[in-house]
This record gives sequence, structure tokens and C-alpha cells, in this order.
Amino acid sequence: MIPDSDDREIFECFVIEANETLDEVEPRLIEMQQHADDSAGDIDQDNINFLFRLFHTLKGGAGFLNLSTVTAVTHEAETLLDLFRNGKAICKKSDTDLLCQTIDFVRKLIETIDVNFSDEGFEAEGDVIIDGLKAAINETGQPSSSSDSSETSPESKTNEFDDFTIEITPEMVEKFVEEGSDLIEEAEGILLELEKNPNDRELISNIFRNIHSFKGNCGFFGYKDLETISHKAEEVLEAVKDKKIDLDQIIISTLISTVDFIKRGLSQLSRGESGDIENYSELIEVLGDRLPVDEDEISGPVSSVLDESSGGQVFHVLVAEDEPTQLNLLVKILGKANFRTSQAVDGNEALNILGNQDKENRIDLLLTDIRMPNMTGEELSEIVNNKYPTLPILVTTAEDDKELLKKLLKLDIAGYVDKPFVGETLVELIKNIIKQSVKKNIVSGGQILKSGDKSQKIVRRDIRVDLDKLDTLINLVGELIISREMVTRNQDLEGLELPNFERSVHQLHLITNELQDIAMAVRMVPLSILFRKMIRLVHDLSSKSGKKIKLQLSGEDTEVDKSVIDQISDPLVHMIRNAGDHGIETAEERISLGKTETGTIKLSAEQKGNEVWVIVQEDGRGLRREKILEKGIKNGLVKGDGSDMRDEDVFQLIFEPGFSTAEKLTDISGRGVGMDVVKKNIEKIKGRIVIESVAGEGTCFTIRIPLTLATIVGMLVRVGTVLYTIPITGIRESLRPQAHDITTRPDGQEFVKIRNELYPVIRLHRLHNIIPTHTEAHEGIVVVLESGGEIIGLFVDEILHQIETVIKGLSKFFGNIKGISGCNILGNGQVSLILDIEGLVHNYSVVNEEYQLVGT
Amino acid sequence: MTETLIKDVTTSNAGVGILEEDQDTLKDKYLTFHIGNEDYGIAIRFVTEIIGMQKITEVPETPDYIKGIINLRGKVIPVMDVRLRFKMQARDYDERTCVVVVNHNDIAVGLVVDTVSEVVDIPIDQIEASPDFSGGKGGHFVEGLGKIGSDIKMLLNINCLLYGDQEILENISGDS
Repeated sequence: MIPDSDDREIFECFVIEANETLDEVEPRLIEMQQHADDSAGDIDQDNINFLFRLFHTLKGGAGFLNLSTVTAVTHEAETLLDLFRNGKAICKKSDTDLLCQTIDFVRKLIETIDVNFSDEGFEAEGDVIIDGLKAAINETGQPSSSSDSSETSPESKTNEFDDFTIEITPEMVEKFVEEGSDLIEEAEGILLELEKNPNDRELISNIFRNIHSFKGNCGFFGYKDLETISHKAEEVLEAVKDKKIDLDQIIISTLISTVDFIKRGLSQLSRGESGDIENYSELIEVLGDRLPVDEDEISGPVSSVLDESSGGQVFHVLVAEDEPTQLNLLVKILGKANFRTSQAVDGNEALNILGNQDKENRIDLLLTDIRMPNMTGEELSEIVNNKYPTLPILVTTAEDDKELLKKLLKLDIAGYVDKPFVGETLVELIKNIIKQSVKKNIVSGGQILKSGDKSQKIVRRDIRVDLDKLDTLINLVGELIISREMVTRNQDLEGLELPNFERSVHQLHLITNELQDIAMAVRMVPLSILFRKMIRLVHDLSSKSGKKIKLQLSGEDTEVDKSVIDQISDPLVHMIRNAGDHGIETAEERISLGKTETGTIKLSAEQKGNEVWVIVQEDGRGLRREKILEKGIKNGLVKGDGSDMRDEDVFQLIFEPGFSTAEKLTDISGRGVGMDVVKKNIEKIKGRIVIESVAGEGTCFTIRIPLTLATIVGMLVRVGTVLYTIPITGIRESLRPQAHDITTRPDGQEFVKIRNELYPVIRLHRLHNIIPTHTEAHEGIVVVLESGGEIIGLFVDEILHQIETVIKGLSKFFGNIKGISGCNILGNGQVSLILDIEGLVHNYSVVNEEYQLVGT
Repeated sequence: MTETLIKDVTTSNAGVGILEEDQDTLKDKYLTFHIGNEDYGIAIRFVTEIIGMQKITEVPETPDYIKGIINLRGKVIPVMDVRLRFKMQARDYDERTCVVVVNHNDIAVGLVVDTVSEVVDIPIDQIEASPDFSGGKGGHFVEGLGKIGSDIKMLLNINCLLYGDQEILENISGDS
């Protein structure tokens, strides 16, 4: 069965949401288990509630789409969780494993659903899972819930949601609001169309589908108010669709009001509020009125509380409103609040009623619409102000027009109310106005509502954008930055005094920089998505290997480029697995070593300058230098006995392809399995891995990734005719040394003395075979570079200026070139090479050797 | 639904047709250029454009025939001097020196040649297999000899030119 495109969309939504839900469930489940373990079976209420809700949501969504296997499985899981939640059973490790299995199974189902739009064919497998869950449920002495599966019928369901609304993840809400707004906006458009062609059956079935989908989503998320209101609208539309009732203007405008209410609910949600809509019952009633049957199903629970403050006094409000629905609605609201009402459909009628009022029927307040035939609300207000200066006027308006507002404020009115209005607030306002009987109540009255309205305008408007488009945009921004530099540093401008031009350039800089920042931010995602996946991984590792492993996460909210997440996902899994498999010892071993029984893997992330560091640290056995060296010598990777190698260089050997697979059984082995792939992946995104390890105490891998893959701030330097860009982050200082600051070792290696410290000097012209302008140290410039605590001086002819530039990779044709990390295009179109400071600094000892050869 | 489907199929077929036609028009066509006293040709399907000499930025640790990199409208591409590639005497660039930009396996490379002459048709039956040069300068880059009347154009193997045979490959990777 291939559903039509609308339904397909619903399926797709479900799949996306279900996957997100499952991603969320997994870590929570394991956290809950850990908590239970730590505190003797005590259940972490937050997590269990959350889990319960997520399963429940999943079940709801699956039920809506007739996915019977998913529904059945999640139902049992929910039942099991309910037992834990109520304290009727203790959550054991086996239960958690079972639930993990369930999650895996559901994931598989979701995958199938994504392709086939059905979960058929997995019934047998589903039954196995269900049996397992049932067994777990029975074990706790509780009857299996298949019979009383209605336990989550509407009442308990709504309670559930009322209790836990806050715990829905913001991302989910965002999605919901995004999709809901789309549906509702479309519905609104259709309604407006329908106003012109009320008999267009296609439009009717379209809007019905829209509202139906929206209702489904609401149910899925448990927004009861939105669900009720859209349900009612759906009923009305169904009746229209089935030709039980005619679609007249009243129904259309009522539906438009409904849409407005729903929009308000959505905007509340997008602001992180509950999404509960107040006083929608009147609307429901108006909608219900139009229904042929079950009209009294929902009796308006309008707050009779409101009456209390009125103190028995009955106020009389004259409502002037041309739209019958609105009029109806207002009269209903006011009626509920114990107001007496008179109705007028236009200004003339209102004036007539006012003219006819006597002591018995004294009008206390005029509530008028702005847009009315014959006479507008403004005109009416003016006349009323002249004739009945003591009568307060309250204006309702659907427009958000500053001009109109100003006009209104000039008029002597008591306040204005925006449509759609909140009944309760309106009633309060009217009461206030009448009580004070002061006409100039604009400030208090108007503001109450206005403030509500303003925030309502901050509706989150997300759109989903194709990643390719986004990348093109980002590339174009990059090109723009290059062009900006080309223009502002154009050689034609050299030597000219152009103050106005400079000012404009400054402005251009500000704008383009902001543009660039935003373009970059668009692709940034928090690492938490990735980190939280590791929880399950460590859990599985721990249960498979029988070791006790704890995972500590920190810095999850560090943001990195989306492509970075994609690239480090696999390496991270690898490293964590290695850490658990080979790093952490068994519990007995740990105890005998005097360590804590439980091993810890710390996964953290932080931003350091222009880099993000992702750190995987464990307190296991650590790397053994001798063993790695031994192996390295055997494989011919290390020349000599390697005794002069630094620890870090030795450890880097584990990244060599196939380094330790041969000795799988020894302590350090296995560490190399796939590590070459890890390194390759990290290098792809211009990252590096630094290893620190102390035998017996643990190992710490630091993955250092550039924050943005696209731009750098650099210093442009010249050597001979060649230009280089040095990333500014690696520059400590630059200076022109005096002749006596330079010391030359017998082998030819030069050192520069800076504040009584000697640093080796690398001559870039020698390194790259360029004919320099200056050969004497005191004629050129020494740029002092630092990387990883090591410092060298780089001798160049001249420093030109600072540039901000987009990094371009060297052509694949070259492969990797030592000391060069890429290139960039300068303002004049020329290409300069970007120096790889890390590589330069790190390799200076190698260069040293070369010099020795040259020197001798 | 079916209708649109059919339409889709026909349009996409048409697309394929055009593509094949394109391929056909490129077939047997060679861009010829001079280096020294000889004429060479490369299959036109590899050629993306021909530009004049540009300011070249040298890249360290590359073979001498890799002159460096140039900025091709925001794209940075490597430039190879074909003369040096053939181990011929270097020659100063003049206003007739051209860079032929070729695209092979999605990697764009600029080839510096003395002069570009023309695009010619050389049907396959007019191409003779290259005799086995031994010890000749860059003989292994020639995959065939194309005859146009009495003229001979040496047709180059682009893959070999860019990456060479094993020995040259090693050269590049060893240097990088």
C-alpha cells in the first residue's frame, strides 16, 4: 500500500519523530538503570516519566497510522515502565536490556515503515519481543495488561500530558510547531478560497485533510486543547464534506477564528509555553452549534469563577459587530461572564440602541468592531464620544496597523482588544473599565492585551532547506569575502587618500562579517546529538565484556559544523569501543591494582580558540611505550632503537595501518584496529589526534578539530616573490632580531634569543627553495610560532598585513604537502599558501637533520 | 499519474539522447598544440578551457614540472609545464604560451604548452599505435599517432601525462 502524498508526509513525519524519540529514549533508559543501580532500585522519577511519555507518544503515533506491531510492542514496553513508575516493580538490568532490545526492534520497524509505509511482516518477531516484555511484566507479579490496555484511555492520557508537558524536548516541539504552522497556514489559505467558492469539494477535502493531520500531530504530542479544538473543526468539516450541513459564511468565519486560536496555541508553544489555549470553549460551542448532532458533547466549562468578582451587579454591554460569528462569540463570552448584552450589526443600529436606552437598560460599555459596513468603529466612537461622553468604549480589531492604532489612541476610547481575543482577559478588561468608569484606560487596558499580542508575533518560522542549497550559500558568502578583499585592497587604490571610501569599506566589512558569521552558524549543531549516542554504546560494551564502565559526558552543548559531526561519529565510536575493550580492565583486575571497581570513560568537548577539542579519556591500563616501540621496530616503522623518540611520537604509531592487529592477544593490541581509519577520518576535516597516556593510569585521546572549516584570519608574509599566509592563532609575536641575537650552532642551525630564551630559527626560503630579498637575520623578520608548547622562529623577508580569508584546499593532485595546510586567494587574485604551523613546528627537528646534511 | 510518468520517461530519454549526441560530437576530436617543433593532441573531452599565462604560485616539495598553482576564477588548480614533463629544455613563457585546463577524474589541471593550434578531427582509422620508444624523452606519454594528410600529431594519454606510470607516481607521492 502506497499512501497518497499527504499521508506519506504524515508517515515521514512519524518516522522522523519516532527516530528522534528513540534517540532520546536510549540514553534516558540507561541513565535510569544506572540511577536504579546506584540507589538500590530507586527509580529516577524524571527519567521514568520521560521514558513513559516517549513510549506513549510513539504508541499514539503508531496507532494513528495503523502500525499494529509498533503499537503492540510499545504498548507492552509502556506497561512495563508503568510498573516501575508506580513502584510496583524494581527495574532490573535484564529489564533494561529487554527495553533496549525493544528499542532496536522498533528502530528496525521504523526503517521498514520509512520504505514500505507499513510494519507488516514483523509480527512474529514482534511477538517474541512482546512475550519477553510480558514475561518481565508477569515476573513482577502484575497481570499482563493486554486486557486492561485501555488504561491509557483519554483521562489518564490527558493527566499524563498535563503532568509532563514540560519534558518534551524543545526540538520536538519546534518540529511540531513548524509542521503545525504549515498545515494551519495552508488551511487558512483554503478557508479564504472557500469564502469565494464555498462549493469547491476539493478544497473542502483538502482542508479536512489538513485539519485531520494537524489533529493527529496534536494527539501525537498530547496537546489536549489543540487536539480538542482541531477535532471539533474536523467534525464540522466532516459534516460539510458529507453534505450534512452547508458551508455558509458563518462556518467559514468560525473556522477562521478556530485557525487563529490554533495559531496562538502554536506561537505559545514556540515560545516554550504550554500550548494550552484558554477560553476556547466558546469557540467549540459555536462550532458545535453547527453540527447536526452531538452538540452538547462538550459543555462549555467556562469559568463561573468570573462571576464572583462582579459582586452580583449585572453590567450591560452593547456589542457592535458585523460578523455574525464574532458577534455570537462575544455574546457568548459575555453571557457566560454574567453580562447583559445588546447586539448591533452596524454603527447605526448601535446608535439606535444607545438612543433608546433608559434607566432599566442603561448601557455600561460599548464594544465595537473597527471594520463595519456603513459606519466604521472610529466614526461610531467619535459620535458616541460626543453624544455620551461618559460611556466607555472598547474597540476590537483584527488588524495590527500602527497608523490605525495611533488614530484609535487619539480617539477618546477606553481601550482596544486584538482579535482573536482571550475571553477571560476581555471579561476582566471590561469589568475593570466599567468599575473605574474612567475613560482613559488605554494604558492599563490596552497594554495587557497588547503585550500578549506582541509576543504572539514572535512565531518561530523555520523552513527546511536542502543542504546543497545551504552549502552553495555558504560558498557564495566565502566568495563574497574574497571579492570584498579584492575590492577594498585593490591595487588601483594604493596610495590614495579616500576617507569616504574607507568609511563605506568599514560598513561593508561589518555587514559581510555578520553575514559570514550567520552563514557559518547555520550549519552548527551541538555535539550532544553525537555524545548521547555513546551512552548506549558504553552500556552495551559494559554488559558484553562484563566490565563495569561508567561514561561521563561534559561539554555536550559545544557546537560544531554539521560535517564535523558526520566525520567524527565513526572515529568516536571506534575510540570509545577501544577504550572500553582494551583500555579499561576487568573489575577484578582493577581491584587488585587498587583502582575503583568501575572504570570511567570521560567524553568531553570544549572550544579552544579556533579549535574544538573532543576528549576521550579513560582510567584504564594505558599505553605501553616499550610494547609499541618493539612492534614499531619489528614493522620497520621505527629506525634504530627508538629510545630518542618522544612518548607522543611513539603513541602515534598506533595509527599506522594494521599496526597491532597481529598481536591481538597482548595488552596493547587491538588498539590499532581501525585506528588508521580513525586518523584518516579526522585528518579529512583537518583535525589531529593527540595521545597522552600513562601506563597503568589511563589514556587520553584529544581530537582537535578546527572550529570552522572555511575561514581563517592570517598574517600575509613575503619571502622573495612568494606570499604565504600564517594563521594568526599560531603567531606569538614577530620581531626583527639584532645581529647579536642570532646564535649559530656548529651544524648551521640558527637560534634566536628572545628574552633570554633560545628558539630554533627556520628559514622559509631555504625550506622552500626561494631566492629571498634578505639573507641576514637582522634584515628580515622572525615570526615566532607556537604549537603544542613548542616554539620556533620563522625567518621571512617581510610582514605585509593581516588578512581574513577563505581556506581552499590544495588540489587533490598534490596529496599532502608538508608544512602547507592549504591555500587562499588574495585580493589581487594571486594565490598564497597557508602554512601549517603545527607541521612546521613539529617537524623542525627533522629540518634540523636536513641542515646538518647541508652544513656538512 | 501514469501520464506524467510516461512524460517523465520520454523527457529523460530525450535527455539521454542529447547527451549521447554530445559525446558523439566530441568523439574523434583533438585539441592540438605545439611544444618545440612537434605537434601534440589531447582528446577534446578532457579539455575544459584554454587560458593565457597567469601568475603562478610555486608549491614546495613538488617535481620541477609542477609549476605551482593558479587562481582560476576562485578555484585553485595546479599547473604542469608539459615541456618539463617531457624533460625538454625549459623555455621562457611568452604571449603565445597557453594554459590548457583539462579535467580528468574531477581533478582540474592546467597544462602549459608553447602554443595552441586548433581542434582537428582524427578518425580512429587514422590513428596508429605509438611505436615503442625506448629511452626517448617522454615517449610513454604518447598513446597513438594521428595522421592528417602528411602531418603527424602525437596523441597524448592524459592519465599518463598527469600521473605518469608507476615510477612517476612514486615520484609525486614520494615528494609530497
